[in-house]
Amino acid sequence: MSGLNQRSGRLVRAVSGVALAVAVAFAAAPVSAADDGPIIAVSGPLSWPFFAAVKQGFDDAAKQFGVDYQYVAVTDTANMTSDYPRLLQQAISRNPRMLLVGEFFPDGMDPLIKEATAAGIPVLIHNSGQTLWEQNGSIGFIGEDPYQMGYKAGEIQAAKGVRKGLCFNQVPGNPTVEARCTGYVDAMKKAGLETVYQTIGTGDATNPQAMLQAIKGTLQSTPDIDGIYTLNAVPAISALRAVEEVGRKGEVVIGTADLSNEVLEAIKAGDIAFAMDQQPYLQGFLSIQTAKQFLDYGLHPIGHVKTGPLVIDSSNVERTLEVNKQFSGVRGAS
Amino acid sequence: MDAAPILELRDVTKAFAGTTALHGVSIRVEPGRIVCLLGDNGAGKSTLIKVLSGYHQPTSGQILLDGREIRFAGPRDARKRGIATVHQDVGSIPLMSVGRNFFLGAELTKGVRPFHHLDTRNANRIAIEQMQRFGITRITDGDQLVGTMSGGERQVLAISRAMYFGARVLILDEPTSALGVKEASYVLRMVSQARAEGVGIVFITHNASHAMAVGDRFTVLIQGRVAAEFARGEKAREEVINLMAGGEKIAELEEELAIE
Amino acid sequence: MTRLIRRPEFGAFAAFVLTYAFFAVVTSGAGFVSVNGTAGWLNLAAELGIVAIPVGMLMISGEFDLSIGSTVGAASMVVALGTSFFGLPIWPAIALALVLGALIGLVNGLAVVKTNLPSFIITLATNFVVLGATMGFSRLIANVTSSSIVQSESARAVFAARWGQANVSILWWLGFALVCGWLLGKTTFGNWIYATGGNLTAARGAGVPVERVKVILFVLTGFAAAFVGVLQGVQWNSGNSTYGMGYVFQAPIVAVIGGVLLGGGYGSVVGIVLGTAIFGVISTGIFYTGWSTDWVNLFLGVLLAAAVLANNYVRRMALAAR
Repeated sequence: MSGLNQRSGRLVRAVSGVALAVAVAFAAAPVSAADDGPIIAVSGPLSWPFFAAVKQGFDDAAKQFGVDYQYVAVTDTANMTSDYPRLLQQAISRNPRMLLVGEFFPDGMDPLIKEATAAGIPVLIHNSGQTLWEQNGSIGFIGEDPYQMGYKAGEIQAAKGVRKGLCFNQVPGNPTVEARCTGYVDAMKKAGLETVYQTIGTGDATNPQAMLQAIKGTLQSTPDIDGIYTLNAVPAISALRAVEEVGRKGEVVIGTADLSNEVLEAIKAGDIAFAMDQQPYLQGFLSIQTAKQFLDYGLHPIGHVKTGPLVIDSSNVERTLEVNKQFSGVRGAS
Repeated sequence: MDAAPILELRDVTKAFAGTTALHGVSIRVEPGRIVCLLGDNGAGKSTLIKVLSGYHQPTSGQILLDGREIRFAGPRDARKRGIATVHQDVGSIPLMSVGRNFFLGAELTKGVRPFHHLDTRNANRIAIEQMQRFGITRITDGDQLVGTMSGGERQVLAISRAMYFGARVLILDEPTSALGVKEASYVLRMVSQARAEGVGIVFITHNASHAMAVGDRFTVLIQGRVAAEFARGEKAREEVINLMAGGEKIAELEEELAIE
Repeated sequence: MTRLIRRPEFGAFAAFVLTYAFFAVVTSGAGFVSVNGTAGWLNLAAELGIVAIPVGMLMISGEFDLSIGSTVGAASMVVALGTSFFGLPIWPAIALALVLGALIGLVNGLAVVKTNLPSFIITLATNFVVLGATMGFSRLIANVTSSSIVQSESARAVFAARWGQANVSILWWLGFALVCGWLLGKTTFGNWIYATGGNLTAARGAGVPVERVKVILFVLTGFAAAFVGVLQGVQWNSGNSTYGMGYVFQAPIVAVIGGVLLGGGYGSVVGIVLGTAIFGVISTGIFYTGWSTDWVNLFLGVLLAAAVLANNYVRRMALAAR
């Protein structure tokens, strides 16, 4: 032995060096959930009031149940499709006690979630990923299906007598948001009604003036449109202005996903028919609550917990406005 | 016999880390005289220009302006004292008009502050007049972009601009080297006219014929030293070329090639 | 004729006439050329145009400013939080927003001049810094990233007045264009802008204070971006940290369409105004056609490329014209 050692001491040293490096690499890989690891929430960009409300729910529950957690999200929304898988990968490599994931981009994120659950990290999905959680080993889903949300909007507009509906998508290419339009179009089709699908140039998604002019143009070129469904609160106000500018206020039924103070005031005034609320605060709050109960007692709700759509219209808008004024951020509207 | 020099270098040495670019160079720039500075590439001509125009301070030796020793604080200081340098690339701005280029940095304005504005018409008129004075008649519109002018015309613009703003010494860095025969003759004619107006001129070139055409005095630099100094008519063209190339080498080369 | 072609805005003018005629024909009957349709694309162009003019002037001086996007949002948030959270009257809040914009410009300018790094990189960094700071502080202060604005009649009259469907922003655009057009075309400072971008060494050699020229233009750009932020905030009744993000590239694009040379040294305010108008006509007009809007980006891209090629051709003709 000693002879071998003498002759090939260099080689042995080199080999053991490699072995050590491999061991370190294994230690860094998620073998199992560490008891003292962090609870990490991979969720949406905080520049959107919607996710600000999700975080508010996370924060309030964390405080109430005495849980420590970390919120991670992108700040630049230009490359979310590739940034989110990367963000999730980083979270997994930190060997967390539990992951609370918004599965916004399944193509990149689902394989990673499977990896994490296979390695024994408990994962709870919120907001997006309603159709995937059962297959990827997650313990549950809290949130709402964008397709169902759009579908509901279509049903309401059909019931209100809309004959030709416009779905306005300000961020074409985002699968979650696009599913809302798909749901809307399907519901309208089922009622035997026509739809128009409209997008705008990239870069104009946050320019209310550009959205106003785009919708105005479509209303001019297709004057029989009598219903508009927008996918965010900002274009909802643009749509309202566009309808005013073509002189058809009151003739076009406007509905939107998500809320803002402006939208709520417009519902109160009767200018916007309804807003679909998926109660983002609850998605955050219930995620932390479930995580706490799962980690402490192994308990969790079975199946998927629906947080929406809650339809806000003239019947319940007053109360929503009150809450929004009193508890800034909770309704995801500002 | 000569007038008192405007600008004079006495025994100037300029050393950079590791190399000495100029060794004890003396040169006199007199009003109404053209000093030709001849030398091959790397002979120290550009360093000498930079010392004359205030970019470099000499390591040792003196610069005298009107007989008094002076240290230029920088190129601006030198320019303010009437020493104008026109570089090979002229330093004009191709996408700006003749008038705007001519008055750049010393704009003509009219009207009362804060509503004073460019006096484009007068600027254009003066620029064209000045260029015509030096024989450029093709350019008649002050709004024409400098980028549309030939290299010789740009040289004339730059030189007439320096003259207009009161240059007493003109340092012309290879003004003819990038030009064709006809273009070069514009510039040479202009240089001799500037001399007639009493300006002292330093004419840097490696083209012996151009130098011989206008020069009054000649200084040949080789490896940072003054290799020869002579007045107009003292040496033949072949002699000057050989001097610049460092001795008899050109003649030898000619012989060699002739044998083959 | 050559005199006309030689003007930097000639290509943009030709492109404007062509695109407008194109949309007038293909949208016939949809009201694009009506008073209200015209007000529509002018409203869109005006907001972009106010910030595009100084951005274009900055490009003529050889620099970029990509931080305008987040400055627009930051200014709108200053007004929103100032009025709704801190209870400031709206005018001091607006003044604060404008000063902030000018300050962002000052920081950009000094950073570019002192470090000699490309302004493309520096202002890209500032864009993120300002956006991040706006969101961070908004959340810290009021737990929101967009917020309502408490209005006053006078503020609405100045920033959001309307005649029919035409916004007062069109007048502001015109005002900016007149002042900046005079500055660039008729003053010593304008001469220095061209020289700084046309040949930095030569300009410096001629005694042009090139650093000061750049810093002043950065300040002007920051101010204009903040002005648009105030305008949008008051008009839409709310501040939003993401307002203006689209301008980051739209502003330089319209400047180039308008004949500004990407490398600096060439261009005019009239050209930038026309470039913005072309952009407004295209990006609004396409929706009046009733075509599938999936093609919007493609269409915009092709028309922009065509406009730039036309300009390039015209400029070559200008340089060849004797």
